[in-house]
Amino acid sequence: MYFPVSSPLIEFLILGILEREDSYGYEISQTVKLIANIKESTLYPILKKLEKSDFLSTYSQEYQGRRRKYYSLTEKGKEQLFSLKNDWSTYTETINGIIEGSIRK
Amino acid sequence: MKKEDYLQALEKELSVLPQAEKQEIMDYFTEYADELGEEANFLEELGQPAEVAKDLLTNLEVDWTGKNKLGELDQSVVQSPLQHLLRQVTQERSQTQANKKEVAPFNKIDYQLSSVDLRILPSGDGRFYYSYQQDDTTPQLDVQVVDKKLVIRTLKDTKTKEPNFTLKIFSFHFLSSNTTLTIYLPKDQELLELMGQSTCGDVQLEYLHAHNCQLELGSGDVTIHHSQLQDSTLQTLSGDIAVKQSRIEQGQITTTNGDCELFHLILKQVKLNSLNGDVELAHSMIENTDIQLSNGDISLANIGLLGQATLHNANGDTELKLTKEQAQQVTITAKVTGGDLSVNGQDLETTTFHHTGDKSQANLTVSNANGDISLYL
Repeated sequence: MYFPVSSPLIEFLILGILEREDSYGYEISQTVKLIANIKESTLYPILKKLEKSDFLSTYSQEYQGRRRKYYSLTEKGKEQLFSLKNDWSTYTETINGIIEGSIRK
Repeated sequence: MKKEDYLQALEKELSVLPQAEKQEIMDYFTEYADELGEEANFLEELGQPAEVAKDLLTNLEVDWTGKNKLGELDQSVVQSPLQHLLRQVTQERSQTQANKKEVAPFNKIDYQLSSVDLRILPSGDGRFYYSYQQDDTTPQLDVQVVDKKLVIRTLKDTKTKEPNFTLKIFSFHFLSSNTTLTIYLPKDQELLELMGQSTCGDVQLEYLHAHNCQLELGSGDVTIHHSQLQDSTLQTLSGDIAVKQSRIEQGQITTTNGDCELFHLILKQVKLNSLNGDVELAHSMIENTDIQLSNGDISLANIGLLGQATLHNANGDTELKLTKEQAQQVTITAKVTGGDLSVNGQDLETTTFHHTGDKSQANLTVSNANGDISLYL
Protein backbone atom coordinates (compact mmCIF):
# COMPACT_ATOMS: atom_id res chain seq x y z
CA MET A 1 0.00 0.00 0.00
CA TYR A 2 1.41 3.34 -1.07
CA PHE A 3 -0.51 5.29 1.58
CA PRO A 4 0.69 5.33 5.16
CA VAL A 5 -1.71 4.46 7.97
CA SER A 6 -1.27 7.01 10.73
CA SER A 7 -1.90 6.37 14.39
CA PRO A 8 -5.17 8.41 14.52
CA LEU A 9 -6.40 6.13 11.76
CA ILE A 10 -5.34 3.05 13.71
CA GLU A 11 -7.25 4.38 16.73
CA PHE A 12 -10.28 4.73 14.47
CA LEU A 13 -9.82 1.18 13.14
CA ILE A 14 -9.57 -0.27 16.64
CA LEU A 15 -12.74 1.51 17.80
CA GLY A 16 -14.46 0.30 14.64
CA ILE A 17 -13.33 -3.31 15.20
CA LEU A 18 -14.73 -3.24 18.72
CA GLU A 19 -18.06 -1.68 17.78
CA ARG A 20 -19.73 -4.99 16.97
CA GLU A 21 -18.05 -7.19 19.52
CA ASP A 22 -15.28 -7.27 22.10
CA SER A 23 -11.93 -8.59 20.97
CA TYR A 24 -8.41 -9.39 22.22
CA GLY A 25 -4.95 -8.17 21.28
CA TYR A 26 -3.98 -10.77 18.70
CA GLU A 27 -7.30 -10.64 16.88
CA ILE A 28 -7.37 -6.82 16.80
CA SER A 29 -3.80 -6.81 15.55
CA GLN A 30 -4.54 -9.30 12.74
CA THR A 31 -7.45 -7.17 11.52
CA VAL A 32 -5.47 -3.92 11.65
CA LYS A 33 -2.68 -5.67 9.74
CA LEU A 34 -5.03 -6.20 6.81
CA ILE A 35 -4.41 -2.54 5.94
CA ALA A 36 -1.45 -1.38 7.99
CA ASN A 37 2.02 -2.81 8.27
CA ILE A 38 2.14 -2.21 11.99
CA LYS A 39 4.32 -3.63 14.73
CA GLU A 40 3.05 -4.81 18.11
CA SER A 41 5.27 -2.23 19.74
CA THR A 42 3.29 0.48 17.93
CA LEU A 43 -0.12 -1.09 18.41
CA TYR A 44 0.22 -1.67 22.14
CA PRO A 45 0.76 2.03 23.02
CA ILE A 46 -2.27 2.95 20.92
CA LEU A 47 -4.46 0.44 22.74
CA LYS A 48 -3.07 1.71 26.01
CA LYS A 49 -3.79 5.31 25.04
CA LEU A 50 -7.39 4.46 24.11
CA GLU A 51 -7.76 2.69 27.43
CA LYS A 52 -6.34 5.67 29.32
CA SER A 53 -8.71 8.02 27.52
CA ASP A 54 -11.58 5.83 28.75
CA PHE A 55 -12.57 4.84 25.23
CA LEU A 56 -11.88 1.18 26.00
CA SER A 57 -12.35 -0.96 29.06
CA THR A 58 -10.76 -4.36 29.53
CA TYR A 59 -11.53 -7.66 31.18
CA SER A 60 -9.87 -11.04 31.37
CA GLN A 61 -11.38 -14.24 30.10
CA GLU A 62 -10.14 -17.81 30.13
CA TYR A 63 -9.51 -19.43 26.75
CA GLN A 64 -8.09 -23.00 26.53
CA GLY A 65 -6.38 -22.66 29.88
CA ARG A 66 -4.85 -19.29 29.04
CA ARG A 67 -6.04 -15.85 29.96
CA ARG A 68 -6.99 -13.43 27.27
CA LYS A 69 -7.40 -9.71 27.84
CA TYR A 70 -10.51 -8.51 26.05
CA TYR A 71 -11.07 -4.94 24.99
CA SER A 72 -14.53 -3.44 24.98
CA LEU A 73 -15.92 -0.06 23.82
CA THR A 74 -17.12 2.24 26.61
CA GLU A 75 -19.95 4.76 26.18
CA LYS A 76 -17.29 7.42 25.69
CA GLY A 77 -15.62 5.21 23.11
CA LYS A 78 -18.89 4.86 21.21
CA GLU A 79 -19.27 8.63 21.18
CA GLN A 80 -15.69 9.04 19.99
CA LEU A 81 -16.33 6.51 17.23
CA PHE A 82 -19.45 8.43 16.23
CA SER A 83 -17.49 11.67 15.97
CA LEU A 84 -14.60 10.00 14.12
CA LYS A 85 -17.04 8.45 11.63
CA ASN A 86 -18.35 11.94 10.94
CA ASP A 87 -14.80 13.21 10.42
CA TRP A 88 -14.04 10.24 8.24
CA SER A 89 -17.01 10.83 5.96
CA THR A 90 -15.94 14.47 5.46
CA TYR A 91 -12.41 13.28 4.79
CA THR A 92 -13.34 10.66 2.22
CA GLU A 93 -16.05 12.77 0.58
CA THR A 94 -13.58 15.63 0.14
CA ILE A 95 -10.79 13.41 -1.16
CA ASN A 96 -13.14 11.63 -3.56
CA GLY A 97 -14.55 14.98 -4.67
CA ILE A 98 -11.10 16.34 -5.38
CA ILE A 99 -9.82 13.34 -7.29
CA GLU A 100 -13.04 12.97 -9.25
CA GLY A 101 -13.00 16.69 -10.00
CA SER A 102 -16.32 17.65 -8.41
CA ILE A 103 -14.62 19.79 -5.75
CA ARG A 104 -12.41 22.72 -6.70
CA LYS A 105 -11.45 25.81 -4.78
CA MET B 1 14.84 -18.07 19.78
CA LYS B 2 12.37 -19.86 22.00
CA LYS B 3 9.28 -18.16 23.33
CA GLU B 4 10.49 -18.08 26.94
CA ASP B 5 13.91 -16.73 25.93
CA TYR B 6 12.33 -14.06 23.82
CA LEU B 7 10.00 -12.90 26.58
CA GLN B 8 12.83 -12.95 29.11
CA ALA B 9 14.98 -10.81 26.84
CA LEU B 10 12.13 -8.37 26.36
CA GLU B 11 11.46 -8.14 30.08
CA LYS B 12 15.10 -7.31 30.67
CA GLU B 13 14.97 -4.50 28.13
CA LEU B 14 11.91 -3.06 29.84
CA SER B 15 13.47 -3.06 33.30
CA VAL B 16 13.60 0.74 33.47
CA LEU B 17 9.82 0.95 33.47
CA PRO B 18 7.66 1.10 36.57
CA GLN B 19 6.71 -2.44 37.63
CA ALA B 20 2.96 -2.15 36.89
CA GLU B 21 3.56 -0.71 33.46
CA LYS B 22 6.12 -3.40 32.66
CA GLN B 23 3.84 -6.20 33.85
CA GLU B 24 1.03 -5.01 31.64
CA ILE B 25 3.28 -4.94 28.58
CA MET B 26 4.63 -8.40 29.40
CA ASP B 27 1.07 -9.74 29.77
CA TYR B 28 0.22 -8.35 26.35
CA PHE B 29 3.29 -9.81 24.66
CA THR B 30 2.99 -13.14 26.46
CA GLU B 31 -0.61 -13.44 25.34
CA TYR B 32 0.41 -12.52 21.81
CA ALA B 33 3.28 -15.01 21.78
CA ASP B 34 0.92 -17.73 23.04
CA GLU B 35 -1.37 -17.06 20.09
CA LEU B 36 1.56 -17.38 17.71
CA GLY B 37 2.37 -20.85 19.08
CA GLU B 38 5.65 -22.43 20.18
CA GLU B 39 7.08 -22.81 16.70
CA ALA B 40 6.77 -19.20 15.60
CA ASN B 41 9.71 -17.06 14.67
CA PHE B 42 9.31 -14.51 17.44
CA LEU B 43 12.12 -12.27 16.25
CA GLU B 44 10.43 -11.94 12.91
CA GLU B 45 6.87 -11.64 14.18
CA LEU B 46 7.55 -9.26 17.04
CA GLY B 47 10.96 -7.72 16.32
CA GLN B 48 14.26 -7.59 18.22
CA PRO B 49 13.55 -7.21 21.95
CA ALA B 50 15.75 -4.10 22.14
CA GLU B 51 13.90 -2.52 19.22
CA VAL B 52 10.51 -3.43 20.66
CA ALA B 53 11.48 -1.89 24.00
CA LYS B 54 12.75 1.26 22.34
CA ASP B 55 9.53 1.63 20.35
CA LEU B 56 7.41 1.10 23.42
CA LEU B 57 9.37 3.57 25.51
CA THR B 58 9.10 6.25 22.84
CA ASN B 59 5.41 5.71 22.16
CA LEU B 60 4.01 5.07 25.61
CA GLU B 61 2.85 7.89 27.82
CA VAL B 62 4.48 6.41 30.86
CA ASP B 63 3.38 7.63 34.24
CA TRP B 64 6.72 8.12 35.94
CA THR B 65 5.39 9.46 39.19
CA GLY B 66 5.47 6.02 40.72
CA LYS B 67 9.14 5.67 39.92
CA ASN B 68 10.82 8.74 41.20
CA LYS B 69 13.46 7.03 43.23
CA LEU B 70 16.58 7.68 41.27
CA GLY B 71 18.26 4.86 43.16
CA GLU B 72 16.21 2.37 41.23
CA LEU B 73 17.60 3.70 38.01
CA ASP B 74 21.17 3.78 39.34
CA GLN B 75 20.95 0.05 39.81
CA SER B 76 20.66 -0.42 36.10
CA VAL B 77 24.25 -1.35 35.45
CA VAL B 78 24.40 -0.55 31.79
CA GLN B 79 24.05 3.11 30.97
CA SER B 80 22.60 3.03 27.52
CA PRO B 81 21.78 6.37 25.88
CA LEU B 82 18.13 5.51 26.32
CA GLN B 83 18.51 4.98 30.03
CA HIS B 84 20.41 8.22 30.26
CA LEU B 85 17.51 10.00 28.64
CA LEU B 86 15.05 8.37 30.98
CA ARG B 87 17.18 9.41 33.91
CA GLN B 88 16.97 13.04 32.81
CA VAL B 89 13.24 12.84 32.38
CA THR B 90 12.81 11.32 35.82
CA GLN B 91 15.10 13.89 37.36
CA GLU B 92 13.17 16.77 35.83
CA ARG B 93 9.92 15.27 37.00
CA SER B 94 11.15 14.92 40.54
CA GLN B 95 12.40 18.50 40.55
CA THR B 96 9.02 19.87 39.56
CA GLN B 97 7.52 17.53 42.12
CA ALA B 98 9.62 19.11 44.84
CA ASN B 99 7.47 22.25 44.60
CA LYS B 100 4.26 20.29 45.00
CA LYS B 101 2.59 20.34 48.38
CA GLU B 102 0.38 17.41 49.19
CA VAL B 103 -3.02 18.23 50.65
CA ALA B 104 -5.86 16.20 52.16
CA PRO B 105 -8.29 14.63 49.65
CA PHE B 106 -11.06 16.91 48.44
CA ASN B 107 -14.02 16.69 46.07
CA LYS B 108 -14.94 20.36 45.88
CA ILE B 109 -13.00 23.43 44.87
CA ASP B 110 -13.81 27.03 45.66
CA TYR B 111 -11.38 29.71 44.53
CA GLN B 112 -11.07 33.46 44.26
CA LEU B 113 -8.07 34.63 42.35
CA SER B 114 -6.96 37.98 41.04
CA SER B 115 -3.99 37.95 38.71
CA VAL B 116 -3.07 34.30 39.17
CA ASP B 117 -3.63 31.65 36.49
CA LEU B 118 -5.25 28.42 37.59
CA ARG B 119 -4.59 24.98 36.20
CA ILE B 120 -6.28 21.79 37.28
CA LEU B 121 -4.45 18.68 36.15
CA PRO B 122 -4.45 14.95 36.92
CA SER B 123 -1.88 13.97 39.54
CA GLY B 124 -1.09 10.54 38.13
CA ASP B 125 -0.48 8.93 41.51
CA GLY B 126 -3.89 9.05 43.18
CA ARG B 127 -2.95 11.91 45.46
CA PHE B 128 -3.88 15.57 45.85
CA TYR B 129 -1.39 18.40 45.50
CA TYR B 130 -1.05 22.02 44.67
CA SER B 131 1.94 24.01 43.56
CA TYR B 132 2.43 27.74 43.63
CA GLN B 133 5.55 29.84 43.49
CA GLN B 134 5.00 32.28 46.29
CA ASP B 135 7.38 35.19 46.76
CA ASP B 136 7.39 38.95 47.33
CA THR B 137 6.20 39.74 43.85
CA THR B 138 3.33 37.24 43.62
CA PRO B 139 -0.07 37.57 45.31
CA GLN B 140 -0.30 35.85 48.68
CA LEU B 141 -2.66 32.90 48.59
CA ASP B 142 -4.32 30.98 51.33
CA VAL B 143 -4.89 27.38 50.28
CA GLN B 144 -6.52 24.85 52.56
CA VAL B 145 -8.86 21.90 52.63
CA VAL B 146 -11.95 22.33 54.80
CA ASP B 147 -14.58 19.54 54.87
CA LYS B 148 -13.22 17.97 51.67
CA LYS B 149 -13.36 21.34 49.94
CA LEU B 150 -10.23 23.00 48.62
CA VAL B 151 -10.62 26.67 49.42
CA ILE B 152 -8.32 29.18 47.76
CA ARG B 153 -8.39 32.83 48.71
CA THR B 154 -6.21 35.75 47.74
CA LEU B 155 -5.03 37.44 50.90
CA LYS B 156 -5.59 41.13 50.48
CA ASP B 157 -4.36 42.34 53.82
CA THR B 158 -0.88 40.92 53.61
CA LYS B 159 1.98 43.34 53.67
CA THR B 160 3.40 42.64 50.27
CA LYS B 161 6.76 44.29 50.10
CA GLU B 162 6.44 47.46 48.07
CA PRO B 163 9.18 47.13 45.47
CA ASN B 164 11.32 50.22 44.94
CA PHE B 165 10.81 52.34 41.86
CA THR B 166 13.40 50.81 39.55
CA LEU B 167 12.27 47.35 40.49
CA LYS B 168 8.69 48.37 39.76
CA ILE B 169 9.61 49.45 36.25
CA PHE B 170 11.61 46.32 35.83
CA SER B 171 8.84 44.07 37.07
CA PHE B 172 6.22 45.88 35.01
CA HIS B 173 7.58 43.92 32.14
CA PHE B 174 6.53 40.73 33.84
CA LEU B 175 3.08 41.85 34.80
CA SER B 176 1.57 40.35 31.72
CA SER B 177 2.68 36.87 32.64
CA ASN B 178 0.88 35.72 35.75
CA THR B 179 2.12 33.16 38.18
CA THR B 180 0.26 29.89 38.08
CA LEU B 181 -1.46 27.95 40.78
CA THR B 182 -1.63 24.30 39.76
CA ILE B 183 -3.97 21.88 41.44
CA TYR B 184 -3.41 18.16 40.96
CA LEU B 185 -6.04 15.61 41.71
CA PRO B 186 -6.42 11.92 40.80
CA LYS B 187 -7.80 11.44 37.31
CA ASP B 188 -10.74 9.38 38.54
CA GLN B 189 -11.65 11.83 41.29
CA GLU B 190 -14.89 13.52 40.32
CA LEU B 191 -15.46 17.01 41.62
CA LEU B 192 -18.92 17.56 43.07
CA GLU B 193 -18.48 21.28 42.97
CA LEU B 194 -16.14 23.72 41.24
CA MET B 195 -16.81 27.35 41.98
CA GLY B 196 -14.50 30.17 41.22
CA GLN B 197 -13.81 33.68 40.14
CA SER B 198 -10.71 35.02 38.43
CA THR B 199 -10.28 38.71 37.81
CA CYS B 200 -7.54 38.62 35.25
CA GLY B 201 -6.10 35.12 35.37
CA ASP B 202 -6.58 32.27 32.94
CA VAL B 203 -8.18 28.94 33.80
CA GLN B 204 -7.08 25.65 32.32
CA LEU B 205 -8.77 22.32 33.00
CA GLU B 206 -7.46 18.99 31.80
CA TYR B 207 -8.88 15.52 32.28
CA LEU B 208 -11.38 16.82 34.79
CA HIS B 209 -14.76 15.36 35.61
CA ALA B 210 -16.80 17.93 37.46
CA HIS B 211 -20.40 18.61 38.45
CA ASN B 212 -21.81 21.97 39.46
CA CYS B 213 -19.20 24.22 37.93
CA GLN B 214 -19.52 27.93 38.09
CA LEU B 215 -16.55 29.67 36.63
CA GLU B 216 -16.47 33.41 36.20
CA LEU B 217 -13.58 35.11 34.49
CA GLY B 218 -12.79 38.71 33.84
CA SER B 219 -10.09 39.19 31.27
CA GLY B 220 -8.61 35.71 31.37
CA ASP B 221 -9.07 32.86 28.91
CA VAL B 222 -10.55 29.44 29.62
CA THR B 223 -9.04 26.31 28.09
CA ILE B 224 -10.65 22.95 28.67
CA HIS B 225 -9.34 19.64 27.33
CA HIS B 226 -10.48 16.04 27.74
CA SER B 227 -12.97 16.95 30.43
CA GLN B 228 -16.54 16.28 31.43
CA LEU B 229 -18.60 19.04 32.93
CA GLN B 230 -22.14 18.64 34.18
CA ASP B 231 -24.40 21.47 35.32
CA SER B 232 -21.87 24.08 34.44
CA THR B 233 -21.85 27.80 33.99
CA LEU B 234 -18.86 29.23 32.23
CA GLN B 235 -18.66 32.95 31.91
CA THR B 236 -16.00 35.26 30.54
CA LEU B 237 -16.04 38.98 30.10
CA SER B 238 -13.26 39.62 27.63
CA GLY B 239 -11.41 36.33 27.63
CA ASP B 240 -11.69 33.61 25.01
CA ILE B 241 -13.12 30.16 25.56
CA ALA B 242 -11.50 27.10 23.99
CA VAL B 243 -12.97 23.69 24.69
CA LYS B 244 -11.65 20.56 23.02
CA GLN B 245 -12.35 16.86 23.26
CA SER B 246 -14.78 17.30 26.07
CA ARG B 247 -18.33 16.71 27.05
CA ILE B 248 -20.60 19.36 28.48
CA GLU B 249 -24.02 18.42 29.77
CA GLN B 250 -26.58 20.89 31.04
CA GLY B 251 -24.48 23.94 30.86
CA GLN B 252 -24.33 27.54 30.00
CA ILE B 253 -21.44 29.20 28.23
CA THR B 254 -21.50 32.96 28.12
CA THR B 255 -18.98 35.40 26.79
CA THR B 256 -19.21 39.14 26.33
CA ASN B 257 -16.21 40.06 24.22
CA GLY B 258 -14.30 36.84 23.85
CA ASP B 259 -14.33 34.28 21.05
CA CYS B 260 -15.34 30.64 21.43
CA GLU B 261 -13.47 27.78 19.84
CA LEU B 262 -15.25 24.49 20.35
CA PHE B 263 -13.88 21.34 18.76
CA HIS B 264 -14.56 17.62 19.19
CA LEU B 265 -17.26 18.07 21.76
CA ILE B 266 -20.42 16.49 22.92
CA LEU B 267 -22.83 19.20 23.99
CA LYS B 268 -26.09 18.18 25.60
CA GLN B 269 -28.58 20.75 26.78
CA VAL B 270 -26.16 23.60 26.52
CA LYS B 271 -26.96 27.29 26.13
CA LEU B 272 -24.27 29.28 24.44
CA ASN B 273 -24.46 33.06 24.42
CA SER B 274 -21.95 35.34 22.83
CA LEU B 275 -22.41 39.09 22.70
CA ASN B 276 -19.54 40.44 20.61
CA GLY B 277 -17.30 37.46 20.00
CA ASP B 278 -17.21 34.91 17.20
CA VAL B 279 -18.04 31.25 17.66
CA GLU B 280 -16.47 28.33 15.87
CA LEU B 281 -17.96 24.93 16.55
CA ALA B 282 -16.76 21.87 14.66
CA HIS B 283 -16.46 18.08 14.69
CA SER B 284 -19.00 17.80 17.44
CA MET B 285 -22.26 16.23 18.44
CA ILE B 286 -24.91 18.56 19.79
CA GLU B 287 -28.16 17.63 21.43
CA ASN B 288 -30.89 20.03 22.58
CA THR B 289 -28.58 22.98 22.35
CA ASP B 290 -29.36 26.64 22.03
CA ILE B 291 -26.86 29.10 20.57
CA GLN B 292 -27.40 32.84 20.50
CA LEU B 293 -25.09 35.52 19.20
CA SER B 294 -25.54 39.24 19.05
CA ASN B 295 -22.73 40.79 17.07
CA GLY B 296 -20.30 38.03 16.23
CA ASP B 297 -20.15 35.50 13.41
CA ILE B 298 -20.69 31.79 13.88
CA SER B 299 -19.45 28.89 11.86
CA LEU B 300 -20.50 25.31 12.43
CA ALA B 301 -18.89 22.46 10.56
CA ASN B 302 -19.21 18.72 10.76
CA ILE B 303 -21.90 18.60 13.38
CA GLY B 304 -24.02 15.62 14.33
CA LEU B 305 -27.38 16.76 15.65
CA LEU B 306 -29.89 15.19 18.00
CA GLY B 307 -33.11 16.54 19.48
CA GLN B 308 -33.88 20.23 19.20
CA ALA B 309 -31.31 22.87 18.44
CA THR B 310 -31.66 26.55 17.81
CA LEU B 311 -29.16 28.95 16.40
CA HIS B 312 -29.96 32.62 16.46
CA ASN B 313 -27.73 35.47 15.35
CA ALA B 314 -28.77 39.10 15.67
CA ASN B 315 -26.19 41.01 13.63
CA GLY B 316 -23.51 38.54 12.61
CA ASP B 317 -23.32 35.94 9.85
CA THR B 318 -24.04 32.23 10.24
CA GLU B 319 -22.40 29.45 8.30
CA LEU B 320 -23.35 25.79 8.68
CA LYS B 321 -21.60 22.93 6.89
CA LEU B 322 -22.87 19.38 7.27
CA THR B 323 -21.77 16.16 5.64
CA LYS B 324 -24.31 14.29 3.48
CA GLU B 325 -24.83 11.77 6.24
CA GLN B 326 -25.37 14.48 8.85
CA ALA B 327 -27.77 16.40 6.59
CA GLN B 328 -29.88 13.25 6.17
CA GLN B 329 -30.37 13.08 9.91
CA VAL B 330 -31.70 16.58 10.46
CA THR B 331 -34.66 18.80 9.63
CA ILE B 332 -33.62 22.41 9.19
CA THR B 333 -35.70 25.57 9.17
CA ALA B 334 -33.71 28.67 8.26
CA LYS B 335 -35.02 32.21 8.29
CA VAL B 336 -33.43 35.58 7.61
CA THR B 337 -34.97 38.98 8.25
CA GLY B 338 -32.47 41.51 7.00
CA GLY B 339 -29.69 39.37 5.57
CA ASP B 340 -29.28 36.97 2.67
CA LEU B 341 -29.88 33.25 2.63
CA SER B 342 -27.82 30.85 0.56
CA VAL B 343 -27.75 27.08 0.22
CA ASN B 344 -24.70 25.28 -1.19
CA GLY B 345 -23.38 28.56 -2.55
CA GLN B 346 -26.64 29.50 -4.35
CA ASP B 347 -28.40 32.65 -3.15
CA LEU B 348 -32.09 32.11 -2.52
CA GLU B 349 -34.75 34.64 -3.42
CA THR B 350 -36.80 33.69 -0.38
CA THR B 351 -36.17 34.54 3.24
CA THR B 352 -36.95 31.06 4.51
CA PHE B 353 -35.60 27.63 3.67
CA HIS B 354 -36.72 24.22 4.77
CA HIS B 355 -34.82 20.95 4.58
CA THR B 356 -36.06 17.58 5.75
CA GLY B 357 -33.52 14.77 6.02
CA ASP B 358 -34.57 11.22 5.04
CA LYS B 359 -33.57 9.88 8.40
CA SER B 360 -34.28 12.96 10.45
CA GLN B 361 -33.70 12.64 14.18
CA ALA B 362 -33.19 16.29 14.98
CA ASN B 363 -34.74 19.71 14.41
CA LEU B 364 -32.55 22.70 13.86
CA THR B 365 -33.87 26.23 13.63
CA VAL B 366 -31.48 28.82 12.23
CA SER B 367 -32.54 32.44 12.30
CA ASN B 368 -30.74 35.71 11.66
CA ALA B 369 -31.98 39.25 12.09
CA ASN B 370 -29.44 41.27 10.13
CA GLY B 371 -26.73 38.83 9.14
CA ASP B 372 -26.49 36.29 6.33
CA ILE B 373 -27.06 32.55 6.58
CA SER B 374 -25.06 30.14 4.41
CA LEU B 375 -25.91 26.47 4.53
CA TYR B 376 -23.89 23.67 2.95
CA LEU B 377 -25.76 20.39 3.05
